[in-house]
Amino acid sequence: MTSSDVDQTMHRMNPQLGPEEWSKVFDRLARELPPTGQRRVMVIGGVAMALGYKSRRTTGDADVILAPEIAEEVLAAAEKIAPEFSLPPDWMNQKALEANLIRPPVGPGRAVFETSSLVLEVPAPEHMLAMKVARYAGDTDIGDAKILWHLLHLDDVEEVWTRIGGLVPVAKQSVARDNLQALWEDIHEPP
Amino acid sequence: MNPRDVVTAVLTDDLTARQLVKDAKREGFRWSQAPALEAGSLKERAVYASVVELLAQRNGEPFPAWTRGVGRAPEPVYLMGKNSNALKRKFEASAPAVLKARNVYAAPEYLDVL
Repeated sequence: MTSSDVDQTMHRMNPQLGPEEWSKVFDRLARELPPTGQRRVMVIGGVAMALGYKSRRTTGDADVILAPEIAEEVLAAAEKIAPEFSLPPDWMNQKALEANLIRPPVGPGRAVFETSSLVLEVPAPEHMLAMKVARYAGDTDIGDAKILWHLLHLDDVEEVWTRIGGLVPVAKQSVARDNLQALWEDIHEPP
Repeated sequence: MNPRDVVTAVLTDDLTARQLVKDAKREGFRWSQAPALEAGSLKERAVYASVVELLAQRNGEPFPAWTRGVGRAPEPVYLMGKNSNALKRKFEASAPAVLKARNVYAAPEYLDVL
């Protein structure tokens, strides 16, 4: 890699999107998919926060969970439309699931986008919070976790853990419990 | 400029910092070849060097030679926003060693993007 390559790599940045931009992307994806029935896609992470909780912009990636029978078709369509939005080819991916960072939600989530070919669902706040406290990769995760905590309308850390603990992968339980406690203290003891 | 973009994002905009790291990963960028920050405060130089070392370490790469000449931040720097004392204490205890060595603090999985 030459210094020019280094410079180019560090200058080029994929777009960040908000709820409105994501709606346009998914609308285009829905039109790309043949009208042979609804594919149900669970969005998690930042896109779920943007679409389901109207909270923020996101990086140019959509973490999703796909049923095996639709994964190939949906991911291929997503890759095909990527250039139209200056998104990377793998903008829609299952990296979080593949890395075993989350436990897939059991049962359907809440639909936040629906057409004849595509339905997007977001997990319940409990499941989203379980994902967030399992891993703080940045300030954004802490901010999201606070939003999700407030949606539970619970003040007691033990009650919250009772609701979310079983949704955290076993390997992440200890970290998640510690992160939840620190979050509680953060909420109750502002800077 | 590039190192300036990184340090500014790390200090002010978590999402942009994540996007930079994700993009670098997609491009196969080698953090061992990251250029030095040519000008900046002691704090900025410490933050940039520690983050470059963190990302190089995660990739199994050596640190760039220039990071050896970069010292500690004069005051503790918390990279994950304006946190309460609880989160600050947590990050002081659990921050990656390459960050702590320069008086910089964040969660163990800071910028460990997929």
